[in-house]
Amino acid sequence: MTHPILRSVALASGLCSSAFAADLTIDGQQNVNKAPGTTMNWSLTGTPNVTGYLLLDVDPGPTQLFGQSLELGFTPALTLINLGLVPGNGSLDFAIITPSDPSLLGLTFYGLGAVADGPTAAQFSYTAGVSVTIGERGVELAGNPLGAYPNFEFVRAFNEGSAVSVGVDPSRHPAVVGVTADVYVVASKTASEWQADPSLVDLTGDGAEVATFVAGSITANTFTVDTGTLSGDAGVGLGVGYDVVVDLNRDGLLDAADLIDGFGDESGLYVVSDTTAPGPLAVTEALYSGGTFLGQNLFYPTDIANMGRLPLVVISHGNGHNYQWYDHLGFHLASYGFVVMSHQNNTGPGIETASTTTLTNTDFFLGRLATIEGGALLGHIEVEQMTWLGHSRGGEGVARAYDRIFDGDWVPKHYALEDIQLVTSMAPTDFLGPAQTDPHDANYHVWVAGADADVNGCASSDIAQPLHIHDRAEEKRAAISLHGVGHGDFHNSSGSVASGPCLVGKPDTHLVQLGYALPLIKHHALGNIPAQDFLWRQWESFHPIGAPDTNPCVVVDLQYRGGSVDAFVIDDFQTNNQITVSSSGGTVTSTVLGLGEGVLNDPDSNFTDNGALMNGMTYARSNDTTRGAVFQYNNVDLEIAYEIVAAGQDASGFDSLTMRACQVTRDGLTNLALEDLTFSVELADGSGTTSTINVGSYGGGVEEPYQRTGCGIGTGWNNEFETLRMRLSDFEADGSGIDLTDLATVTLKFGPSSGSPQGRLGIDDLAFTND
Amino acid sequence: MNLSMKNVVVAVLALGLLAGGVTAVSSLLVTDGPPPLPDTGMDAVVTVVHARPFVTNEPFTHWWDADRASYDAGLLLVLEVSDLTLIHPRQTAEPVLFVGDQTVERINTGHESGYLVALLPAERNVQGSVDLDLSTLPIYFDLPALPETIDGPTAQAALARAVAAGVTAQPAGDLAAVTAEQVSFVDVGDVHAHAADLIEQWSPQEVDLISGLRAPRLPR
Repeated sequence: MTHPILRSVALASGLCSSAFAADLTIDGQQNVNKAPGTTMNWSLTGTPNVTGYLLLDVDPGPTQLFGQSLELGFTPALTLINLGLVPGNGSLDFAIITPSDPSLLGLTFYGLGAVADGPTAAQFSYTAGVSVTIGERGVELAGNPLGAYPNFEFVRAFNEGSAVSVGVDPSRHPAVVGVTADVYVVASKTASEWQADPSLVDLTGDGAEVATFVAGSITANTFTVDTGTLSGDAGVGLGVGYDVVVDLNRDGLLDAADLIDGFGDESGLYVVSDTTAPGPLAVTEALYSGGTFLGQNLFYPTDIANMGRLPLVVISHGNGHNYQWYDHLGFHLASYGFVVMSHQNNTGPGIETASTTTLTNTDFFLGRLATIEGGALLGHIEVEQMTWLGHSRGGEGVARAYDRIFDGDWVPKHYALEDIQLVTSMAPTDFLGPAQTDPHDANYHVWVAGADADVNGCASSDIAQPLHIHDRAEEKRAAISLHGVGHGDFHNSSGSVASGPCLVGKPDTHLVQLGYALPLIKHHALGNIPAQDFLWRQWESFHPIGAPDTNPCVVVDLQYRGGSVDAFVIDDFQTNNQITVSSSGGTVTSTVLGLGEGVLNDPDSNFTDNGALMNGMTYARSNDTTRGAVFQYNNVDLEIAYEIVAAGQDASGFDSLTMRACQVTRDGLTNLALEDLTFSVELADGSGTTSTINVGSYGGGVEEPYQRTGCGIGTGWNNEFETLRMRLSDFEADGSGIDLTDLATVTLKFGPSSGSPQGRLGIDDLAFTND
Repeated sequence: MNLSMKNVVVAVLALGLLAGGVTAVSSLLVTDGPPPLPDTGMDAVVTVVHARPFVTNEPFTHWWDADRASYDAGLLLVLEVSDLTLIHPRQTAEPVLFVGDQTVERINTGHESGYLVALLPAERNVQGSVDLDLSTLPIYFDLPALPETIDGPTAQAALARAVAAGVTAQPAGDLAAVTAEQVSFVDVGDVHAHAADLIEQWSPQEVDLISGLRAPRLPR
């Protein structure tokens, strides 16, 4: 029997002959995930001048009806909407705003389009099914105004004391134009909490901000909602969560008419306190030994008896160093609720023995919790949240230790490989090379000291190039490169072991080290959300509050690459080793000068500018495979255009466009302007619409090399990659019209019209990502 | 050229550069990293100033070569090293210290004091005493390497180089004067604890190493 609703609708519709429904899309797609409060653009194509219908249900079907299989459940929840006549062009377009109703969170709705091809539903012509899932994040509202397009950056983390702004782009939210609303910054709530209590209580110093939205750009609709009064005191945590609500109907409640940033479990914004400052917990230090090379220096919260299970950080020192030289890290991390164990490390014989003592000390510690400190830590260690942190030979040792477990050469007794959430190395050596020191799938991070006079980074020694291990990491990896910092600045004994200009020294290095170590480990071991901002937002834009930013010698360059699972790599140069084809198989068209690809390994023993393509690259040694590209341009507008192959053309499911870039050391074009280099990134969609962002819009750019001499003729140390990351939705700002579901090319544009007038650059890892 | 003369030359050169219009970097370029290594360590004089034979109840592993053999005897040595660049700690490869064709475990760095405390593994004779005659074995620094990679042929090659370079063993009489009575330890952990006493005596500035080696032992 025909569904009664359909039957009645069919009766109400006019009689048409030979009508057909060709397609139903939402934002150009069949299946979408939409944030509450966002606009969906629906399109039903079919025979002109006949009645179109939209059928919505909570079940995807299929259902056998009218002798055909229809992709909808036809449950009692079915809702049928008469859309009116299909226009003469055959495309019936309409918009639906996803409601900000907490009860809808996570639900998926299914749709079917139909046009009347006869008086009964059996004679309708039906489209294929579509779906809409109400996502967990609300719209993006909180961020910072920018001086150039995209004019506003939506961010997760704000330093305590910094202003918080809200930007509403009328092109994304046309319904707000002409509306005066109250903008609230409220305590973060989960979806269920919002459902239970939709009331809005502003926490800023001056109450909810009254905002009147106008047509035009996001700049005209940017409002400072807090001048820096919001608390970032999260105790041992990092980041106090807040949600932002634009209360469009000014009723003091979150309801379907409003915009919200932070609708689900993730807050709209987080205010973070000073990560260089000690945490709130008192710390107890202990020194003990389990025997030969089992000396351990322990730091833990004094009140651990009243705490739950705490994450563990294991520190493995370097050669000639001592396990008691990391008190600054031990006290700092323990004051935030970590247990830190620094152990005697057998680095003298080599890396294998160092890795052995990392392995044995970790096992000894976990196996002897009943006796260490009288059993105070028993039952209070969360083994599954472990970090290994090594320094110099110990920095290679921790990666080697991971490799040994990965390869099955070592079987731990009291923990497993998957318990190690982060392997991080400070100025590591690379004695053993890719066959033995390979972090494989570990989350890997490296600290590089630009003025290191030991693991010095010069092209003359593969052993002393600290970035090799980073580039071997197959999944999530990150790096922090610090100009003017010496090898010994990472520990707290005497001696910087530094060579170079503008030395930072131990106190300021430690501020940077502590300020970044806390979010680094919290992000990887605990999944802390705002901590991630510290790992990729350029120093010029965002850094720990107490970091020594008035010291002109402090220069911090960050690399961050998420895992491969949620990414589409446009070109990482690892396959299709021709400059005309990307690793994803797309055509690469370039006008830049001297473009070449290769292994990121300086081919000789110095940094002298000798014309070598990979001069200054220290990311690989023999048998390493990491590759990238190098080119130059000089006062002429030039570009590299990457065709996006079919698999990547719908980028709407990704958050960001990312890449890494570096200035090439000692090159004449680099030396012409020793400053951050900028260029522009243009997206073009299938219809030819373009949108362009200058990478410098967010602050910073591509840092110039550290101006250290030695390692050949000239000035400038190794090429330091920096991650450049742009939100894909930023390219939609101010109604650019770019269609992120149908991208055709990504073009890197260089020269006077697009940024710095000249330069020689290395690039790598161009991708769409979600991490 | 002595150190102060070198400083004068550097200062004069720097003044000349500045007078010539070269822009000075914003802060002084400082190097406190490991000094460059000499082409060979064979020229260094390594003198035994103290030797303590020992045996252990529990065997221990000698990690400082590729064989990683097990021992229950050895000598704790205090060695005076004439060239401190050889023992300045560095993360890159260090000159490997040999006694004969045997690598030794370096317990401290000694680069400030010039005194190195080292553990030389040895066999026992039938009486249970340390079976090793230092007066037949040259002590020398060979090429930089990771000791854990040194296998038998490599060690033999090192010894041959030392002999060819004219490195000789210390006279028996000199050694006898500095050799203490054999002692017995439970395990190598106790050996290291005793080594801490020697480091305190000969290289007292290494306070963290000393306290680290003396860390209280947890109950077994």
